[in-house]
Amino acid sequence: MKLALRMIAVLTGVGLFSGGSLALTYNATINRIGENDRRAKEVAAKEVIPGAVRVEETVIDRSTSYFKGYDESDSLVGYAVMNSEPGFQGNIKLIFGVTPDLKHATGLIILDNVETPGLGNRIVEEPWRAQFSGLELPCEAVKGTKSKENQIVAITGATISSKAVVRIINNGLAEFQEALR
Amino acid sequence: MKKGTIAYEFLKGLWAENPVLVMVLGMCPTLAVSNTVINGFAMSLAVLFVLSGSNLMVSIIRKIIPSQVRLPVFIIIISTFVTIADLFIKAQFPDISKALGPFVPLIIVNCIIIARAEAFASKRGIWPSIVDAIGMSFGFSWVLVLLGIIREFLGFGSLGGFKLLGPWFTPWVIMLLPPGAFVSLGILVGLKNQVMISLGKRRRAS
Amino acid sequence: MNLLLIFISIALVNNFVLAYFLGICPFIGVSGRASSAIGMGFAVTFVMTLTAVVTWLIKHYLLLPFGLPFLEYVAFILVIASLVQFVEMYLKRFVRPLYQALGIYLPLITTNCAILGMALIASLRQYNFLETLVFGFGGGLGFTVALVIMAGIREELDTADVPRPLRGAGITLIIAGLLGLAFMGFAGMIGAS
Repeated sequence: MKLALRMIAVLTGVGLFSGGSLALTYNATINRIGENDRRAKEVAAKEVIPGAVRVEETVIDRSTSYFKGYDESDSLVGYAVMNSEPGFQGNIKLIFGVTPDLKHATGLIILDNVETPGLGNRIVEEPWRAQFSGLELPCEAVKGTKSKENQIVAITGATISSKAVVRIINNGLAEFQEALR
Repeated sequence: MKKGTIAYEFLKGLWAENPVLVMVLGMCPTLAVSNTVINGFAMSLAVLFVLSGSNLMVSIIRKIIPSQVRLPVFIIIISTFVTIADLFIKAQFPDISKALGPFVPLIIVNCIIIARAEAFASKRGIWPSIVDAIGMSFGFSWVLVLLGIIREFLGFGSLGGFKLLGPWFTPWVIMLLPPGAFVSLGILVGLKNQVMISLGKRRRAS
Repeated sequence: MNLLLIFISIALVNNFVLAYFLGICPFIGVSGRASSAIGMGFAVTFVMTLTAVVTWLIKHYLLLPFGLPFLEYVAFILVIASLVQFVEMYLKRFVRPLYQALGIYLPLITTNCAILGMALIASLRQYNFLETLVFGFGGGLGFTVALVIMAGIREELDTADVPRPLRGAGITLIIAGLLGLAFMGFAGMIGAS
């Protein structure tokens, strides 16, 4: 009986200590964590919408959301769409900018990916991503050289990752258009 | 060196009872976050914090814990410290938190921590327990950082994010991938054993 | 389609052991004999599927409604620890043959980081109930596959002349590396559409 009481007392004590200290830490950090997440997304959104100084997020579903970008005079300068879908090895999460008429892309940032380092992973590199600025949408990936305005050149040795990026952009755009309507 | 002294409790973690190389504990984070030096270093700090915290707490309350419930108590204490570390990293270093992914919460099931609570802190005083925690963390850290150095240098041609090798260097991509981690650690364990064997031979010869 | 994708991804492409480095301790410790590897594998698959279900329910019906997301880690690990205990007691009392087959492996499972890792990753990716279930089951099967292959190789290794410093953990890690290399061949199965 005495042992049972002591067990309960110790477990309760440890539980209270744990719950209490966690609640304190959580309250002290939660704002900062939310702020970090929000800021990371907004920085990326502003970067892919040229001229945007303020962005507003609208969540479409678990994997997709879009941002409206406004300039200093508060007029709409473009959209950014965030989408994530399977790539070569796992999910690729990216954000891309779209002109207000939804005809051209204005930039691309890869937020998360687990593609092979040195091959598929090169989708995060600047020179390759630069192809997406001013690209006609919906787009496609080709090997070698581009012949149309809506084409980008796939990375040698990482065609699947390149095509996945293109697919994620096109699907994101379609979902975004659906949501705008 | 004499057993039981403070210096011994500290140094044993670095070599003779090194948690990774000798006891083969805590393999998961060792392999997963050692792809760059920075990640390895951040992980080491998190482990240092959790291990010191849990060893300290366990040592303080060791006399009042009924032995039947000691494992649940250890687990609660450990996961509390891990959550604190995780929240702190998320708030202060979001990039590092992203790189480490689920491996910060996985410190909970890192066998090193619970093994030290069970085998050391629950039997010894506060000071030896803290020294033991620091020694063990350092033993874990140097292996982690060394592995990070090897993998980052060969895999990216850089150290701590600074490019060291010119464009003539073709990065060994495989070093950054899981197989590279397994093979590097396997060779490291082998080297450590080789050193032990040669040392033992010399001692016997003299 | 999505469920199939999750299943293949976790069982083969992103295998817990060979790609996520989870559950390495039992992988190195228990993989000596094929028969015990199979027993361990099934015990893990069983507990992992159960854990997937229970942790999902706890998260969505207890932690989130009461605004306690910070208790996630504490709750998950306690759930796993007690779940393993209950499963062990239940099997011992009611399903004797299964207990004799899996019993000795069950206590080892609490500290198997693959279980907690699975619960955390499923929670991090905000999987829904079915997805979590499939993720847990697939993860367990993937673990079993890796463990059994490893055990098969280790049995052959008994007769091989391994350099002395590499015996034990060293050679196991190197073999795991080669296995990981082989499993990389599965990459692309999920994206190649």
